[in-house]
Amino acid sequence: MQTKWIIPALLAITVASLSTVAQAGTAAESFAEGEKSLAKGEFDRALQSFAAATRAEKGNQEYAQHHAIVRRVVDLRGRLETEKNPQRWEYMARALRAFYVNERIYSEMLKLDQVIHKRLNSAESAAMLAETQLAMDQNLDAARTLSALESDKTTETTRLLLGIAQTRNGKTEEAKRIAEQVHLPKDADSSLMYTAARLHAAVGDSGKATMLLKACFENTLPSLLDGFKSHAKTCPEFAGIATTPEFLAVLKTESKLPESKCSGGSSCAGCPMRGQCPKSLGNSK
Amino acid sequence: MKHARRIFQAGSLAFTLWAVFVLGSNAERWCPFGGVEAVYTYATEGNLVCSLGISNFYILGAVILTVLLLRRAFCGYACPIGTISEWLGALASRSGLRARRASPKLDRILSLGKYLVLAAILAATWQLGELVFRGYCPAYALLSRHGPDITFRAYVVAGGILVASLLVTIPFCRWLCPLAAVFNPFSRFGLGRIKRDEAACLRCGRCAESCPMAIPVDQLPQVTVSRCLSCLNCIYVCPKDKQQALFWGPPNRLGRAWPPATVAVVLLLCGGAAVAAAYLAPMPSYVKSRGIRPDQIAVVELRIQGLTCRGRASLLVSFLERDDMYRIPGPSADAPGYYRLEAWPDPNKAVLRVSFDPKAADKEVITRAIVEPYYDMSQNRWWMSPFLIDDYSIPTLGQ
Repeated sequence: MQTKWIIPALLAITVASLSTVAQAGTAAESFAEGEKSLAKGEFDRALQSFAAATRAEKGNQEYAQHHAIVRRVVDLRGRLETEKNPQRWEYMARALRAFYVNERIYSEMLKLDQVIHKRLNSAESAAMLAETQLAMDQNLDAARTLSALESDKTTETTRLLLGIAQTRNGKTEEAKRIAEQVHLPKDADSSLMYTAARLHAAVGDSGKATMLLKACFENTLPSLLDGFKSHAKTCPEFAGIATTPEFLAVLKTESKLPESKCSGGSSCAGCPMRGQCPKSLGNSK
Repeated sequence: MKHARRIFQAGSLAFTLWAVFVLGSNAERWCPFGGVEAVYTYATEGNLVCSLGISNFYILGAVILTVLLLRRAFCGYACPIGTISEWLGALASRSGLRARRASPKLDRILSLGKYLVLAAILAATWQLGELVFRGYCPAYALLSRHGPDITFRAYVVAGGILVASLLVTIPFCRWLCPLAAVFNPFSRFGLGRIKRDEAACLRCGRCAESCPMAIPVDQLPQVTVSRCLSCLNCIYVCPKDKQQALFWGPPNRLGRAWPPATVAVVLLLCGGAAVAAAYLAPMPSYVKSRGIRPDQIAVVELRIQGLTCRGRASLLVSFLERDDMYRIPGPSADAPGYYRLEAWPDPNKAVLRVSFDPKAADKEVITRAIVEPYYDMSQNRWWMSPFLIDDYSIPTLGQ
């Protein structure tokens, strides 16, 4: 009596398992498709693929988060052109740029930075555009963008970036002069220290470069540290010192800043329960 | 009746172990000391220290009630650390290891230790808003599921207390327990007390010798010292060949002696009431209000995954207060679309109740604000929401 149920039950379990495995496979494929499309700047296709991955594997938070952020980015891209409120426009533009930076979609970043710089025409917008141009190896354009800034609009960041651009353009003496002239404020943020480290490495002052890089890593939030380190590993300015023991040692520097994975603030950094929190919490892009 | 306390201790310890290891309950949420640690943040911010719940207040209230009735009977009957420590002492004594007694003067000095421990814990916890003591808590080391949050220090402290318990009678309870420091001021006014009949007393000193808290019972007309555990050891060892000299009960003017079972009944009633209250009146353990109360209020209740603790509740607030989601007309354009948030963080499914102005937001907006990624311009970064809401998936564009 009982054996007649065993075979159908086993069959049902097998079918269910195979279907789950197949679904997981489909979800993973869709997700990989989405990442490829995103890298090419094909946002609508990426969104469709991420949506398919999320539908195929509903509990997967990584898929859901990718779908959510790309959906938001597509939405922002659509609204950016028609937004009338300047503050809201700037918010949307910066949000999009931050996304492009994370995903390293330089072609979109360049287009956006040009629009932002045209609209804001500030030291910051120039620095953003020049950074993108440097990332795309458009070094002459980067130097032109920064040189076009009126003198009262220049900042340490723009001067340092101009130095980097000029090194790449073969004007090392000018870059050295800039490196000597720029003095970092005591409360310099990690990104300014990083740019300074790049310039000093580019002009051959490896000692100062590694010192600044170390200070930069120590003053970077733990959640942002990997991004800086991964950039440093591939950054052309550090190519000359990338294999030195000093540089490799600096890459092991840990952040000295407290950060909560739960709240993004420092209040939970000492929480003894943090080891039990899911890895995905408070992830930033 | 002599063994009734041991039976109660065993039952209490077994219940705790069953609840933690079999039912998978969070022992911390039922620790009365958690209520002490949480009171400051709850009073000032309306939310609890990470991983605690409103049950901590109920259990603290219930235990303080037992202290007002029975002095520190909780320590002598229900506290797992007290039980383990006392049993180890008894085991050592049976094995021939004679427990050492500190001189009364040294005992008094060492007793101050618990007040220092309490002050240090409260100062650190209230300042940082975190359970700083957990890294050293012997109870958490012994009665948790030994997850990755247990520190080596906690095991060292627990091990030290266990070893010390073999050599000295319940040293932690007498000298270091911060909860005892909280109980003592209440215990001073406890109703139940040991009363000594001067005429019947033989002054044999057995009562004082048997007292685990080293109270000189044979020299007092009645025991009103705060450290009395109501263990009734003194009554059991009192020679009865002539006439009973020791009694336990309320002050003389309030009546006669109490039966020893009173302790068990009161502890069970108070404990049961605390558990029932925690389930029947589940006050939110995280509350946040913002702005002025609008004329109209709508409420949405959501079941949410990922709202595990206070830190996560803070993160949820930052999502709810995002400035990219709401389009509120008028001067309060930067105001969020909610007025009050009440949450019951939980490692599994948490409950979240959001009160909002229906003119400024709706359920859809509130839900999207919580689950959708958020770009924070001040930090120039996107925050991915770790929250999942039941029955809600991000709609495709155009919906």
